[in-house]
Amino acid sequence: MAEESPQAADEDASTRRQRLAAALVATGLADKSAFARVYRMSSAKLYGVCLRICGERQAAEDVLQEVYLIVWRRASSFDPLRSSPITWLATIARNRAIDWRRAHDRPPPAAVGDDAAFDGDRPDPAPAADDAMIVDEEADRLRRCLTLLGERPRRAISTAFLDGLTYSEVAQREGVPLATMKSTVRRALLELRKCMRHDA
Amino acid sequence: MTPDDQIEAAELALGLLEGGDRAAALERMLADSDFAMEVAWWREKLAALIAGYDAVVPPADVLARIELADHRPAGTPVAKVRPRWPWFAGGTAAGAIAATLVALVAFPAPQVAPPVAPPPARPLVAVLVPAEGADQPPIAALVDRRSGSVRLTATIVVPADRVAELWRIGSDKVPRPLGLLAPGALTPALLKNARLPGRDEVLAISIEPQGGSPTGKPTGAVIATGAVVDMT
Repeated sequence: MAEESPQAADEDASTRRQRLAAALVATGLADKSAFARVYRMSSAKLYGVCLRICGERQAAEDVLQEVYLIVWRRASSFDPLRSSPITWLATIARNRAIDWRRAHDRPPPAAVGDDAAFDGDRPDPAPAADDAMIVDEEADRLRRCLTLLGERPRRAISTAFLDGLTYSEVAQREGVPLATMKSTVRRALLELRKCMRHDA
Repeated sequence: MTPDDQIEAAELALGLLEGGDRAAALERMLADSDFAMEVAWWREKLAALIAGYDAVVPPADVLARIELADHRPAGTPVAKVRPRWPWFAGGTAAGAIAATLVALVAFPAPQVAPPVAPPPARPLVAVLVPAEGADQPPIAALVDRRSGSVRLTATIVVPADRVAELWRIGSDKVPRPLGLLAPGALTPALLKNARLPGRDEVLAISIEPQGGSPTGKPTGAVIATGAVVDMT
């Protein structure tokens, strides 16, 4: 959001989300200035995604460029009624960055500290500016349900997602046998599902 | 869905699986629409974890280095152009649908493992025209006989608590189910079915209760139909 106009900082999350969704829909109609607006509103978040998964700046920049080309091509399939724009965009970035890392046979990125957004010891953490665009009831529920899991499975699930790790990579990072990690995570995934489905 | 199925769907959505386990789960997603919907559910829910990524401002020159093709982006739903059924006359919408189909061919879904030594077979395509009064853009469909799949541009408008179901209707005029179009699934929607529609059969999409038509025949409104033709 750093490149947006100064008043952008004062807008509430819902207004920014609507502006991003509108720019994305216009991008789907081949509007290049709308594409540039999408870029300005989302590139810091998407670069953060690429950097974290790729683990190196040059690769992250290359993947970021590729991601926005995909955004340009696919924007017309974005459905503002069904998807959050930043989630739609970041999902493309995450998938592309994971593809890059696996295609280039790179090791998983180094562990980043505990993921504050899902740290059970810190209730109601103030979300960062970009994050406010995706905070909604569903996200709150996921956060609540994750806090009910044990610390290890919670960390495994969130770092598997954020760093794009497979079972064996998560097990290696945690220093536990693969079979142990699998059974821990599987149990946690069932608990998580139950909580997400029933904890209305 | 057994608990094991639910776990497998979550593992696939989260990206934990690798190698043969991943390939098997992806295969299953194409063949088993309940499983595909479970994966879609997980993907949608887990997407909230994106909040955990820190924003980092990229170098200033990245935007300038992105070279956009000058033509209209592929996959543009013609609904946004919204002329009145002009694809029969070869108007701009037909061009956009053609671009969509080219995009479907040129950018196959990355999850699908390439078939081994595929026999050359030209894809079949269909343009599903919305029913009168349906608030629905036209939908392009690609029948890929090599991978045994049907792919759709998935901008299908489905009311809450309903699903869209795809049917093929052969010369005997009996609709046969091809699968559910999972809401929230990654676009383009992809269905795999051993009995692919052939040339001159009709594809139709109906709105059904959750879980699909209880009778094996369309029970709700048919929102779009189109004939399957050779891609030229």
